[in-house]
Amino acid sequence: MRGASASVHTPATTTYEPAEVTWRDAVTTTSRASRRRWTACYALLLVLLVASIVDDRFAVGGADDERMPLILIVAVPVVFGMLRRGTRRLTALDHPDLDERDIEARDSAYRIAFPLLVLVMIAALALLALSLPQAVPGPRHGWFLESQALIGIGLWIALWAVYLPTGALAWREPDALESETQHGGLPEPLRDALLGLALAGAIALSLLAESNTGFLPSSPR
Amino acid sequence: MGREPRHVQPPIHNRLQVLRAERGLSRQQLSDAVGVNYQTIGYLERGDYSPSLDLAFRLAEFFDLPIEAIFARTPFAPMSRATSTPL
Repeated sequence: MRGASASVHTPATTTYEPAEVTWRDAVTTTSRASRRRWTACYALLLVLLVASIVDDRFAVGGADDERMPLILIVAVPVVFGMLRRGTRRLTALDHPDLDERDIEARDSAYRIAFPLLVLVMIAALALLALSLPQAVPGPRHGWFLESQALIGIGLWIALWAVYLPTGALAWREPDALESETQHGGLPEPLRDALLGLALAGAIALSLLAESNTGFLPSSPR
Repeated sequence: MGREPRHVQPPIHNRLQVLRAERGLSRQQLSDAVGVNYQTIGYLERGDYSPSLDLAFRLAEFFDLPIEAIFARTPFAPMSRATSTPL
C-alpha cells in the first residue's frame, strides 16, 4: 500500500503540476481499441519473423547470416514497448507498486497467456519439422541440429513467452482514464495509422532489399 | 476473450464520484489516501472494477460513512431525487 493513512479526512491542498509530455508519452496507447490494434500488429510481426526464419522468400538475401530482416527485429521491440507502456508495465514480475486491481489484472493475463503459449509451442514443433532435414550426423551417434533456424525458432518462442501476458493484458484492459491534466497531440487512430504505415513501409523495404545494410557501407567479409 | 465468462459477478454500484466531488478531491488525492493507483479509482467510479472488502472498508473509513452508504447492489437514486423528498 502506498500513500497516506486511510483515516485522513482533510483533502490535501497540494496542486499537481502537469507532467512534461515526452515522445514516449505521445506514443503510449491509452484506449482499448488502440491497444488491440497494436496487439494484433505485434502478433503479425512475430508471424513474419518466423516466416523469415523458416522460408528464404521472406528473408533478406538468403545467405545464412542474413536471414532475418533487420527492421523486423527493430519493429518488434518498438511495438512491444508501446504495449508495455500502454499497460503500465503491469506484467513486470518485479513491479514495485501494484494495487489489488493491478494484481488481479496481471494474474488474469498470465492465466490467459499460459494456454496460448502451449499453442505457440505446438506451432514451433510443427516448424521444427521444416528444419529437421538440415540436421547433421554427430561425431559419435545421433543427429545434431545445428541449423540457425533452430536458434531462430527458440528465440521466437521466447518472444511469444515474453509478449503473451502483455498482449492478453493489452487486449482486456479497459480504456485508460483521460488524464486529469489533458495534453494535446494527434488523435490516437491517426497516430496509430502513421506509426503503422512507417513500420509497414520499413518492413516492406527491408524484405525487398538485397542486404540488411541499406545505405550503410557493407562490412568486408 | 470472445466467450462469455462462466460466472458473471453482479455489478456493485457506488457513490464514489459524488463523494469525491463533494469533498473537492481529485482521483489522485483519493487514491493516495486509500493506497491504490488513481486509475483504480477511475475504474471503480466507472463500474469497471468491484473493490475487495478491504478496499471498500478503507474507502468507508476515509469518507467516514458506512459501507452501504457508498456501495450497493442496486443503483443509487440520483441526489436530486433524494433531496427533493418532502420531510
